[in-house]
Amino acid sequence: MRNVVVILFMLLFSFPASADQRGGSFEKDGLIYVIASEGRFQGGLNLGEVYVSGVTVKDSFVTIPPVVIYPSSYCWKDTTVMAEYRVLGIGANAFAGARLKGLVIPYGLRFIGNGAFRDLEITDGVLVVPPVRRMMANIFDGVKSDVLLLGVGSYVSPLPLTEKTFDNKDALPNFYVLHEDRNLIPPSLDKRVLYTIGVNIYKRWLRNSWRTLFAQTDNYKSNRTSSLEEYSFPTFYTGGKGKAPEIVCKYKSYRRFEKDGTDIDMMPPLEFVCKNPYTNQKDTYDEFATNGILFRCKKGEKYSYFTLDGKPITNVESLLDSSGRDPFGLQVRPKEEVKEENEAKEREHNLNKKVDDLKRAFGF
Amino acid sequence: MVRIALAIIFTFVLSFRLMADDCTVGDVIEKDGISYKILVSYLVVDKKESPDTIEGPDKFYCSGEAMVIHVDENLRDVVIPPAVNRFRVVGLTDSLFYGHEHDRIWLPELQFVGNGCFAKLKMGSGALVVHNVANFGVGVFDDLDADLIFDISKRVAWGNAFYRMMEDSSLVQSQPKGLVKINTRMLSHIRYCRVYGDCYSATSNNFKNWIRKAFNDDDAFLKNDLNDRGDNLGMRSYYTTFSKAKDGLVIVSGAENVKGLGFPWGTLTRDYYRQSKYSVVNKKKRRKVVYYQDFIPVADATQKRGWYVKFIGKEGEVSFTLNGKLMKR
Repeated sequence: MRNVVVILFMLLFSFPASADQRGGSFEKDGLIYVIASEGRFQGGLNLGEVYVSGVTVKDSFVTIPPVVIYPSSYCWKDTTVMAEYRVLGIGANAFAGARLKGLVIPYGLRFIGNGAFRDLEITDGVLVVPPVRRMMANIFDGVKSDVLLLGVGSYVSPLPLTEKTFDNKDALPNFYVLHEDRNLIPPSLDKRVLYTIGVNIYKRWLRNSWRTLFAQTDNYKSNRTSSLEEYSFPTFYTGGKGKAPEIVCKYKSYRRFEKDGTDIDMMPPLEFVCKNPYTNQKDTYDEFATNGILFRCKKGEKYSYFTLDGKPITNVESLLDSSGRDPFGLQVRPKEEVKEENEAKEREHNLNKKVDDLKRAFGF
Repeated sequence: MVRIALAIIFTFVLSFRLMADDCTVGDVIEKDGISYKILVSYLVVDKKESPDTIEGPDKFYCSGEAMVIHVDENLRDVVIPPAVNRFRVVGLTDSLFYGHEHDRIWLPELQFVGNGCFAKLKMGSGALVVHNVANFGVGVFDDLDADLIFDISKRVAWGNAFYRMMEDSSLVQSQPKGLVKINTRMLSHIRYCRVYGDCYSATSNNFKNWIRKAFNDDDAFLKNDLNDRGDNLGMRSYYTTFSKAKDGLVIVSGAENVKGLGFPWGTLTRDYYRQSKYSVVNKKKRRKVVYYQDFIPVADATQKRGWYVKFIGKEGEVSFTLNGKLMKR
């Protein structure tokens, strides 16, 4: 039973990361999303990350969902293969100049890009901005409605609100925070732009701005992972826990990315850290996949194959089928090479057959 | 014998209170369309007239505490001064502005605001600014048709108005129609009051802008100093002799709460539990302070210096000569 669970778990979370799809975009429910990363599931459903890069509707009530279900970018022509994209953030100038009735931003976004809400007009209610891990410069320039900054107290250090966020003081709207959060605003920030409100007003505003989407603030929070820290992919084991290799999936160069934030609109690709107790080595791979019998890792251009207990498979040829594909369906050997080899084999076979026929004809 | 009899007769006939401005508790002063009722009265001297020694009983003036009891409904702008005729304005009576419509109202720092005082009040400027108030009544802001700005500059004393608001104020039972605004720095003063959850706050400049808007950017209103309690109230501490003289009395006038009757304002404006109080010290016996409720400077032609002082306290009437000697009856 336990093995079955482990296998199911592996099937669910085993996916190879690919950077090929990064940068592609699609539209759904009036929002344009750009794919930041995507990983393919063995089970058919893909996991990925997107950020909002624009809005196509006007005078509407727009909700940014925490997760977008859309046909996988690996096979957009085949709409039956769906992918589950987690919304990472809001890209630069995503809502610049837009006029909406309301905008619901999910809890726990990672970033809001430069000028994301520049000249945005919310005609019905206020713009509610939940805690976001990093807020870039001039986000609120020219916003034509009041802005309620939620949960300033829940920001982790360093605080995402900086002077840059409120850089252009002449074109800023009125900002409101809760009374309790007034001392949590960074001292470097010009407090003149801030008003505070009591909790009853805050609840009333949220009710108006979110309609019936979130009756309670708690529902709003639980709609998303509560942690604002690094979004962690699951750690899983190829076999039994403690005996088999441990695979940790995470962002590549994540710390550097967090530090300089230069690549804010494009999250770094994934990487897989494999602790192999069989070889007693720790390797980092770009790609990982398993089929319940063995697992495959890719580093650079080279693929490596292991049994579930971590033993390297050196004779890769033995794993390939007649068409040169590995058990995961990857064309390991070039088709031409396989074709030539097959043709050579066929020629050799035909030649041998002819030789045999001749021998038989002459009585050898 | 005849001379003694004549002296007694003169004493009774010619002794009278000579005061420049005679007012008693209960009197009503009307000024600029606003009526004030005197709640407590005590005697002070004018600093300019009596810098050191009071020369006679005519140098005393009535001072004390007064309450606003009526405001003309036709006044467009209402300015309630911190003091009127040497009387400090300490409160507003019940339903003072009930159903009124004014453009702007300037209020001083007050000890109490009566029940339903601002109920159904309409403000042309759109906001009512209330400074430090020690105690609010019930239903003070019911259906106030304006924003309400609490301009708190200090923690209010004894009454702790905002704490009492939790129990019986209109801010619990019904809310003003407009927004309730407060200075961010003063939020901690109302932390445990329900208004905390229902108010907006702003820091320095933004808060000042709210007040400016409430007074339509009129500097005359804005320059009204909140802490101005009136320079004309007079000196409450004075000597019967030259200050450096070794004999004489030191008299300090004022008012005290009447203990045992509850808060000084009673059930707000129906009762007022304060009365005048004079503390008297003989310069030769500085450690001994005697308190009296009433003080009467008496002109007496039989006295060498022309006048003497009389006090009324628990033990009855007591008179002293100016150099502090007890006068026999």
